[in-house]
Amino acid sequence: MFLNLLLILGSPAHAENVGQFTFLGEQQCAPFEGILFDPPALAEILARQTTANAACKARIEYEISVEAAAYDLVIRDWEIKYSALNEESTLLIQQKDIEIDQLRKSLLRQSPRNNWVWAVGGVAVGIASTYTAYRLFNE
Amino acid sequence: MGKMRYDYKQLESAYETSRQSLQAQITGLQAIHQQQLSELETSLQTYKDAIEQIENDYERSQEALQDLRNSKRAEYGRQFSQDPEGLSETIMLMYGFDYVP
Repeated sequence: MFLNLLLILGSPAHAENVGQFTFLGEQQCAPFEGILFDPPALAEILARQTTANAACKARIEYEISVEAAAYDLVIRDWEIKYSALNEESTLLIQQKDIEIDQLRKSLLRQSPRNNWVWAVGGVAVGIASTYTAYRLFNE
Repeated sequence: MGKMRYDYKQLESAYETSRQSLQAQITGLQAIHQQQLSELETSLQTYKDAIEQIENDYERSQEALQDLRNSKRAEYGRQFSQDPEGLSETIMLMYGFDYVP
């Protein structure tokens, strides 16, 4: 009961006169069959038509703004990622350059091989051994 | 023996160089990623603020539109009682319908 009362009181028709319409047959107080709108309904139809362009423009502006904000976000994110990758590559190149330089210095500090010294020494030792053996076994 | 020890020292030095380089890379990368995360968060916040602003603007425009619609409704209501010929003219202009008195 209470709910029904609430529904009746809360319905738009009872809240304010939002407009009414009815169907008319031919010669039923009208020269042709049609639909009869009361003044508030007609005013609503005309007002909606008058403001339709503005409503459409506002909606388009809203949708474009939302899309633009989303694309701005995507662009900013790509710029941030690009900047970070750029910094990473610069850092890696710098560190590799430092590493290469230090390894090069380290290599330069290594003990020299001096192969010719060992070759000359070997030949000299060989000659000396042969000569010593010759002297020992000949005597 | 001395040569071997010297070479070993050099190898150790090379290893230490590589280790320090990698450590520096890791530290640098961590700093870069931290900065990237911070910038991405700022960017997201900027987006959220922009969307909020757009929603507010749209809400305001809808309110203005509703006000305009109400005033037009009142205007057409007045026209109905005070200037029916003007109203029929408006309907004809707006929709192209013929008026049948």
